[in-house]
Amino acid sequence: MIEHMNQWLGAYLDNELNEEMQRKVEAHLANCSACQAELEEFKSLSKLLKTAANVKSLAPEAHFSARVALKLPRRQIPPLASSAVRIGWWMIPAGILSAWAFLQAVQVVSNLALAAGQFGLISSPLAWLSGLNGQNLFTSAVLSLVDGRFGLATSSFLAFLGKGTGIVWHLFIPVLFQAALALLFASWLTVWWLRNFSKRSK
Amino acid sequence: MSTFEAETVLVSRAQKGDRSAFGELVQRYQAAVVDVVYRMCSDAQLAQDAAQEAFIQAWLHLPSYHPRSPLRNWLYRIAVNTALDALRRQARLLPQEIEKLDLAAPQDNPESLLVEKERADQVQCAVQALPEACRAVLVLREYENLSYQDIASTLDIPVGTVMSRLNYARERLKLLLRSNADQTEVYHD
Repeated sequence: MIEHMNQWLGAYLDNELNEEMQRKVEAHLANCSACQAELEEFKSLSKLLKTAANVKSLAPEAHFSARVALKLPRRQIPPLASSAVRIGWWMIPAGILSAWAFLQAVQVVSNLALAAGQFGLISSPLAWLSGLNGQNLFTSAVLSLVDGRFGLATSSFLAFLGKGTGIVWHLFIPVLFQAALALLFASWLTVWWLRNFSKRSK
Repeated sequence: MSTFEAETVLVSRAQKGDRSAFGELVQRYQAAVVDVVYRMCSDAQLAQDAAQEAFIQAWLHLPSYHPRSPLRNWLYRIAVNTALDALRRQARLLPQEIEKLDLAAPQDNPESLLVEKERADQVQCAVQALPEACRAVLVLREYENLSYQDIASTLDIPVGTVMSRLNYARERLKLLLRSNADQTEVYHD
Protein backbone atom coordinates (compact mmCIF):
# COMPACT_ATOMS: atom_id res chain seq x y z
CA MET A 1 0.00 0.00 0.00
CA ILE A 2 1.38 3.42 -1.00
CA GLU A 3 1.87 5.90 1.81
CA HIS A 4 0.79 9.31 0.55
CA MET A 5 2.62 12.50 1.44
CA ASN A 6 -0.30 14.90 1.76
CA GLN A 7 1.04 16.52 4.93
CA TRP A 8 4.24 17.57 3.14
CA LEU A 9 2.68 18.88 -0.07
CA GLY A 10 1.90 22.35 1.29
CA ALA A 11 5.44 22.82 2.56
CA TYR A 12 6.77 21.45 -0.75
CA LEU A 13 4.69 23.98 -2.66
CA ASP A 14 5.97 26.76 -0.39
CA ASN A 15 9.56 25.59 -0.90
CA GLU A 16 9.99 25.10 2.84
CA LEU A 17 11.27 21.51 2.92
CA ASN A 18 14.90 20.56 3.43
CA GLU A 19 16.72 19.01 0.49
CA GLU A 20 16.30 15.42 1.65
CA MET A 21 12.56 15.77 2.24
CA GLN A 22 12.14 17.64 -1.01
CA ARG A 23 13.78 14.78 -2.91
CA LYS A 24 11.52 12.26 -1.16
CA VAL A 25 8.39 14.22 -2.05
CA GLU A 26 9.54 14.63 -5.67
CA ALA A 27 10.26 10.91 -5.94
CA HIS A 28 6.83 10.14 -4.52
CA LEU A 29 5.08 12.62 -6.80
CA ALA A 30 6.66 11.00 -9.84
CA ASN A 31 4.70 7.81 -9.13
CA CYS A 32 1.57 8.99 -7.32
CA SER A 33 -1.24 10.50 -9.34
CA ALA A 34 -3.35 11.16 -6.20
CA CYS A 35 -0.64 13.35 -4.66
CA GLN A 36 -0.03 15.05 -8.02
CA ALA A 37 -3.74 15.95 -8.13
CA GLU A 38 -3.60 17.16 -4.53
CA LEU A 39 -0.59 19.37 -5.32
CA GLU A 40 -2.38 20.82 -8.35
CA GLU A 41 -5.35 21.61 -6.10
CA PHE A 42 -3.08 23.41 -3.66
CA LYS A 43 -1.59 25.41 -6.52
CA SER A 44 -5.06 26.36 -7.81
CA LEU A 45 -6.12 27.35 -4.32
CA SER A 46 -3.07 29.54 -3.79
CA LYS A 47 -3.64 31.23 -7.16
CA LEU A 48 -7.31 31.73 -6.38
CA LEU A 49 -6.57 33.28 -2.98
CA LYS A 50 -4.17 35.76 -4.55
CA THR A 51 -6.13 36.71 -7.65
CA ALA A 52 -9.72 36.61 -6.44
CA ALA A 53 -9.36 38.82 -3.42
CA ASN A 54 -7.37 41.83 -4.54
CA VAL A 55 -8.40 44.75 -2.37
CA LYS A 56 -8.10 48.26 -3.66
CA SER A 57 -6.22 50.71 -1.51
CA LEU A 58 -8.53 51.38 1.42
CA ALA A 59 -7.36 54.90 2.27
CA PRO A 60 -5.02 57.53 0.86
CA GLU A 61 -1.59 57.20 2.49
CA ALA A 62 -1.34 60.73 3.81
CA HIS A 63 -4.85 60.58 5.20
CA PHE A 64 -4.21 57.36 7.09
CA SER A 65 -0.88 58.34 8.63
CA ALA A 66 -2.22 61.80 9.52
CA ARG A 67 -5.12 60.21 11.40
CA VAL A 68 -2.73 57.87 13.22
CA ALA A 69 -0.50 60.84 14.13
CA LEU A 70 -3.50 62.69 15.61
CA LYS A 71 -4.43 59.72 17.76
CA LEU A 72 -0.97 58.93 19.15
CA PRO A 73 -1.16 59.16 22.94
CA ARG A 74 1.58 60.29 25.29
CA ARG A 75 3.72 57.39 26.44
CA GLN A 76 3.41 56.53 30.14
CA ILE A 77 7.00 55.49 30.87
CA PRO A 78 9.90 57.52 29.47
CA PRO A 79 12.38 55.16 27.76
CA LEU A 80 15.34 56.44 29.81
CA ALA A 81 13.68 55.56 33.13
CA SER A 82 12.61 52.13 31.90
CA SER A 83 16.14 51.32 30.71
CA ALA A 84 17.61 52.52 34.03
CA VAL A 85 15.16 50.27 35.89
CA ARG A 86 16.07 47.38 33.61
CA ILE A 87 19.80 47.85 34.24
CA GLY A 88 19.19 48.15 37.98
CA TRP A 89 17.13 44.99 37.94
CA TRP A 90 19.98 42.96 36.39
CA MET A 91 22.53 44.56 38.73
CA ILE A 92 20.88 42.80 41.70
CA PRO A 93 21.88 39.22 40.78
CA ALA A 94 25.24 40.46 39.46
CA GLY A 95 25.92 42.11 42.85
CA ILE A 96 24.87 39.04 44.82
CA LEU A 97 27.03 36.72 42.72
CA SER A 98 30.00 39.11 42.95
CA ALA A 99 29.68 39.26 46.74
CA TRP A 100 29.50 35.48 46.90
CA ALA A 101 32.57 35.13 44.65
CA PHE A 102 34.47 37.66 46.77
CA LEU A 103 33.69 35.85 50.02
CA GLN A 104 34.63 32.49 48.49
CA ALA A 105 37.95 33.91 47.26
CA VAL A 106 38.73 35.42 50.67
CA GLN A 107 37.96 32.13 52.37
CA VAL A 108 40.10 30.08 49.98
CA VAL A 109 43.07 32.45 50.32
CA SER A 110 42.67 32.48 54.06
CA ASN A 111 42.54 28.70 54.35
CA LEU A 112 45.54 28.33 52.04
CA ALA A 113 47.54 30.80 54.12
CA LEU A 114 46.62 29.01 57.33
CA ALA A 115 47.60 25.67 55.83
CA ALA A 116 50.89 27.13 54.61
CA GLY A 117 51.52 28.45 58.12
CA GLN A 118 50.93 25.03 59.63
CA PHE A 119 53.50 23.52 57.32
CA GLY A 120 55.92 26.26 58.22
CA LEU A 121 56.02 27.76 54.78
CA ILE A 122 55.14 31.22 56.06
CA SER A 123 55.32 32.52 59.60
CA SER A 124 54.72 36.24 59.96
CA PRO A 125 51.63 36.61 57.68
CA LEU A 126 49.86 33.99 59.79
CA ALA A 127 49.36 36.37 62.71
CA TRP A 128 47.78 38.94 60.39
CA LEU A 129 45.66 36.34 58.61
CA SER A 130 44.48 34.73 61.85
CA GLY A 131 43.27 38.09 63.06
CA LEU A 132 41.52 38.28 66.43
CA ASN A 133 41.20 35.16 68.52
CA GLY A 134 42.43 32.82 65.82
CA GLN A 135 39.80 33.80 63.22
CA ASN A 136 40.75 33.29 59.63
CA LEU A 137 40.93 36.01 56.99
CA PHE A 138 37.28 35.56 56.01
CA THR A 139 35.95 36.29 59.48
CA SER A 140 38.47 39.05 59.99
CA ALA A 141 37.41 40.67 56.71
CA VAL A 142 33.73 40.38 57.54
CA LEU A 143 34.15 41.62 61.10
CA SER A 144 36.25 44.57 60.02
CA LEU A 145 33.54 45.45 57.47
CA VAL A 146 30.85 45.20 60.12
CA ASP A 147 32.93 46.94 62.78
CA GLY A 148 33.70 49.73 60.39
CA ARG A 149 30.00 50.52 60.37
CA PHE A 150 28.79 49.53 63.82
CA GLY A 151 31.92 49.93 65.92
CA LEU A 152 32.99 47.14 68.22
CA ALA A 153 29.46 46.30 69.28
CA THR A 154 29.24 43.29 66.95
CA SER A 155 32.47 41.72 68.14
CA SER A 156 31.46 42.26 71.73
CA PHE A 157 28.05 40.76 71.02
CA LEU A 158 29.63 37.66 69.46
CA ALA A 159 32.00 37.33 72.40
CA PHE A 160 29.04 37.65 74.76
CA LEU A 161 27.12 34.92 72.91
CA GLY A 162 30.07 32.58 73.05
CA LYS A 163 30.66 33.13 76.76
CA GLY A 164 29.88 30.06 78.81
CA THR A 165 28.35 28.17 75.88
CA GLY A 166 31.57 26.94 74.39
CA ILE A 167 30.28 27.87 70.93
CA VAL A 168 32.74 29.62 68.67
CA TRP A 169 30.30 31.94 66.94
CA HIS A 170 32.73 33.37 64.43
CA LEU A 171 32.89 29.95 62.78
CA PHE A 172 29.26 30.38 61.79
CA ILE A 173 29.75 33.74 60.15
CA PRO A 174 30.83 32.40 56.72
CA VAL A 175 27.86 30.03 56.69
CA LEU A 176 25.56 32.83 57.82
CA PHE A 177 26.71 35.16 55.04
CA GLN A 178 26.43 32.49 52.38
CA ALA A 179 22.93 31.58 53.56
CA ALA A 180 21.92 35.26 53.44
CA LEU A 181 23.29 35.61 49.89
CA ALA A 182 21.56 32.41 48.80
CA LEU A 183 18.29 33.70 50.28
CA LEU A 184 18.64 37.02 48.47
CA PHE A 185 19.40 35.29 45.18
CA ALA A 186 16.47 32.89 45.58
CA SER A 187 14.15 35.85 46.30
CA TRP A 188 15.34 37.67 43.18
CA LEU A 189 14.93 34.47 41.12
CA THR A 190 11.37 34.03 42.42
CA VAL A 191 10.40 37.60 41.53
CA TRP A 192 12.00 37.22 38.08
CA TRP A 193 10.09 33.97 37.45
CA LEU A 194 6.79 35.47 38.63
CA ARG A 195 7.26 38.52 36.35
CA ASN A 196 8.03 36.32 33.33
CA PHE A 197 5.19 33.93 34.10
CA SER A 198 2.65 36.76 34.37
CA LYS A 199 3.90 38.25 31.06
CA ARG A 200 3.47 34.93 29.26
CA SER A 201 0.03 34.27 30.67
CA LYS A 202 -1.25 37.67 29.43
CA MET B 1 22.97 54.10 4.44
CA SER B 2 21.05 50.86 3.71
CA THR B 3 17.28 50.57 4.06
CA PHE B 4 17.73 48.41 7.16
CA GLU B 5 20.08 50.94 8.78
CA ALA B 6 17.73 53.78 7.92
CA GLU B 7 14.88 51.85 9.50
CA THR B 8 16.95 51.12 12.61
CA VAL B 9 17.64 54.83 12.98
CA LEU B 10 13.94 55.63 12.57
CA VAL B 11 12.99 52.98 15.15
CA SER B 12 15.58 54.28 17.58
CA ARG B 13 14.31 57.85 17.19
CA ALA B 14 10.69 56.72 17.55
CA GLN B 15 11.59 54.75 20.67
CA LYS B 16 12.88 57.96 22.19
CA GLY B 17 9.55 59.64 21.44
CA ASP B 18 10.15 61.18 18.01
CA ARG B 19 6.67 61.27 16.47
CA SER B 20 7.82 62.28 13.00
CA ALA B 21 10.13 59.25 12.85
CA PHE B 22 7.20 57.07 13.84
CA GLY B 23 5.11 58.79 11.15
CA GLU B 24 7.65 57.70 8.55
CA LEU B 25 7.43 54.13 9.81
CA VAL B 26 3.63 54.31 9.58
CA GLN B 27 3.89 55.50 5.96
CA ARG B 28 6.28 52.67 5.21
CA TYR B 29 4.14 49.88 6.66
CA GLN B 30 0.57 51.14 6.51
CA ALA B 31 -0.34 49.24 3.34
CA ALA B 32 0.96 45.95 4.73
CA VAL B 33 -0.75 46.41 8.09
CA VAL B 34 -4.10 47.44 6.55
CA ASP B 35 -3.84 44.44 4.22
CA VAL B 36 -3.24 41.94 7.04
CA VAL B 37 -6.02 43.40 9.16
CA TYR B 38 -8.44 43.40 6.24
CA ARG B 39 -7.62 39.78 5.36
CA MET B 40 -8.24 38.84 8.97
CA CYS B 41 -11.62 40.57 9.33
CA SER B 42 -12.96 41.18 5.78
CA ASP B 43 -14.54 44.48 6.73
CA ALA B 44 -13.17 47.64 5.15
CA GLN B 45 -14.18 50.07 7.89
CA LEU B 46 -13.19 47.71 10.66
CA ALA B 47 -9.84 47.15 8.93
CA GLN B 48 -9.21 50.92 8.79
CA ASP B 49 -9.99 51.41 12.46
CA ALA B 50 -8.14 48.31 13.58
CA ALA B 51 -5.07 49.20 11.50
CA GLN B 52 -4.97 52.63 13.17
CA GLU B 53 -5.34 50.94 16.54
CA ALA B 54 -2.49 48.57 15.61
CA PHE B 55 -0.17 51.52 14.96
CA ILE B 56 -1.20 53.18 18.22
CA GLN B 57 -0.41 49.94 20.06
CA ALA B 58 2.90 49.77 18.20
CA TRP B 59 3.72 53.33 19.32
CA LEU B 60 2.91 52.52 22.94
CA HIS B 61 4.96 49.31 22.96
CA LEU B 62 7.82 50.51 20.77
CA PRO B 63 10.21 51.06 23.73
CA SER B 64 10.05 47.32 24.46
CA TYR B 65 10.73 46.35 20.82
CA HIS B 66 14.17 44.80 20.23
CA PRO B 67 15.46 44.94 16.65
CA ARG B 68 16.38 41.24 16.84
CA SER B 69 13.28 40.46 14.75
CA PRO B 70 12.27 42.52 11.70
CA LEU B 71 9.96 45.44 12.47
CA ARG B 72 7.58 44.25 9.77
CA ASN B 73 7.01 40.91 11.56
CA TRP B 74 6.55 42.68 14.88
CA LEU B 75 3.92 44.93 13.31
CA TYR B 76 2.20 41.93 11.72
CA ARG B 77 1.91 40.35 15.11
CA ILE B 78 0.26 43.47 16.53
CA ALA B 79 -1.96 43.73 13.43
CA VAL B 80 -3.20 40.15 13.77
CA ASN B 81 -3.94 40.57 17.49
CA THR B 82 -5.66 43.92 16.95
CA ALA B 83 -7.81 42.50 14.14
CA LEU B 84 -8.89 39.60 16.33
CA ASP B 85 -9.66 41.97 19.23
CA ALA B 86 -11.71 44.19 16.93
CA LEU B 87 -13.65 41.18 15.66
CA ARG B 88 -14.35 40.04 19.20
CA ARG B 89 -15.51 43.51 20.25
CA GLN B 90 -17.81 43.83 17.32
CA ALA B 91 -20.58 41.30 16.84
CA ARG B 92 -18.97 38.58 14.80
CA LEU B 93 -19.79 38.87 11.12
CA LEU B 94 -21.35 35.83 9.55
CA PRO B 95 -19.77 34.75 6.28
CA GLN B 96 -22.85 35.71 4.24
CA GLU B 97 -22.79 39.20 5.78
CA ILE B 98 -19.26 40.01 4.72
CA GLU B 99 -19.01 43.38 3.10
CA LYS B 100 -18.63 43.41 -0.64
CA LEU B 101 -15.62 45.49 -1.54
CA ASP B 102 -14.49 47.17 -4.68
CA LEU B 103 -12.25 44.62 -6.25
CA ALA B 104 -9.68 44.93 -8.93
CA ALA B 105 -11.33 43.85 -12.12
CA PRO B 106 -9.12 41.98 -14.60
CA GLN B 107 -11.48 42.89 -17.47
CA ASP B 108 -13.94 45.72 -17.93
CA ASN B 109 -16.64 43.44 -19.29
CA PRO B 110 -19.60 43.84 -16.85
CA GLU B 111 -20.39 40.16 -16.91
CA SER B 112 -16.85 39.06 -16.08
CA LEU B 113 -16.69 41.78 -13.43
CA LEU B 114 -19.74 40.30 -11.77
CA VAL B 115 -18.27 36.81 -11.87
CA GLU B 116 -14.98 38.10 -10.41
CA LYS B 117 -16.81 39.85 -7.58
CA GLU B 118 -18.88 36.80 -6.80
CA ARG B 119 -15.77 34.64 -6.76
CA ALA B 120 -13.92 37.07 -4.51
CA ASP B 121 -16.83 37.16 -2.09
CA GLN B 122 -16.87 33.41 -1.85
CA VAL B 123 -13.13 33.24 -1.25
CA GLN B 124 -13.46 35.89 1.49
CA CYS B 125 -16.33 33.96 3.06
CA ALA B 126 -14.30 30.76 3.05
CA VAL B 127 -11.27 32.50 4.60
CA GLN B 128 -13.49 34.02 7.29
CA ALA B 129 -14.94 30.63 8.10
CA LEU B 130 -11.49 29.36 9.13
CA PRO B 131 -10.56 29.26 12.82
CA GLU B 132 -8.70 32.44 13.85
CA ALA B 133 -5.36 30.73 14.50
CA CYS B 134 -5.37 29.02 11.09
CA ARG B 135 -6.59 32.18 9.34
CA ALA B 136 -3.69 34.20 10.75
CA VAL B 137 -1.14 31.66 9.46
CA LEU B 138 -2.82 31.49 6.05
CA VAL B 139 -2.99 35.29 5.67
CA LEU B 140 0.68 35.73 6.57
CA ARG B 141 1.72 32.99 4.14
CA GLU B 142 -0.58 33.52 1.16
CA TYR B 143 -0.95 37.30 1.19
CA GLU B 144 2.21 38.54 2.89
CA ASN B 145 4.55 35.78 1.61
CA LEU B 146 6.24 35.25 4.96
CA SER B 147 8.44 32.17 5.38
CA TYR B 148 7.37 29.51 7.89
CA GLN B 149 10.17 30.68 10.20
CA ASP B 150 8.97 34.29 10.03
CA ILE B 151 5.37 33.25 10.67
CA ALA B 152 6.54 31.19 13.65
CA SER B 153 8.42 34.13 15.17
CA THR B 154 5.63 36.58 14.34
CA LEU B 155 2.93 34.50 16.02
CA ASP B 156 5.26 32.99 18.64
CA ILE B 157 4.46 29.40 17.69
CA PRO B 158 6.70 26.48 16.60
CA VAL B 159 7.40 25.98 12.88
CA GLY B 160 5.69 22.57 13.06
CA THR B 161 2.51 24.27 14.25
CA VAL B 162 2.73 26.72 11.34
CA MET B 163 2.89 23.80 8.94
CA SER B 164 0.00 21.90 10.53
CA ARG B 165 -2.24 25.00 10.73
CA LEU B 166 -1.48 25.85 7.14
CA ASN B 167 -2.31 22.30 6.03
CA TYR B 168 -5.55 22.41 7.97
CA ALA B 169 -6.47 25.82 6.54
CA ARG B 170 -5.81 24.71 2.97
CA GLU B 171 -7.73 21.45 3.34
CA ARG B 172 -10.64 23.30 4.93
CA LEU B 173 -10.63 25.97 2.22
CA LYS B 174 -10.68 23.29 -0.45
CA LEU B 175 -13.76 21.74 1.12
CA LEU B 176 -15.52 25.07 1.62
CA LEU B 177 -14.87 26.27 -1.90
CA ARG B 178 -15.68 22.90 -3.42
CA SER B 179 -19.09 22.96 -1.77
CA ASN B 180 -19.83 26.18 -3.66
CA ALA B 181 -18.26 25.04 -6.90
CA ASP B 182 -21.37 23.16 -8.04
CA GLN B 183 -23.34 26.39 -8.17
CA THR B 184 -20.76 28.92 -9.35
CA GLU B 185 -17.72 27.10 -10.68
CA VAL B 186 -15.53 29.09 -8.29
CA TYR B 187 -12.81 26.61 -7.57
CA HIS B 188 -11.92 25.20 -10.96
CA ASP B 189 -12.30 27.54 -13.83
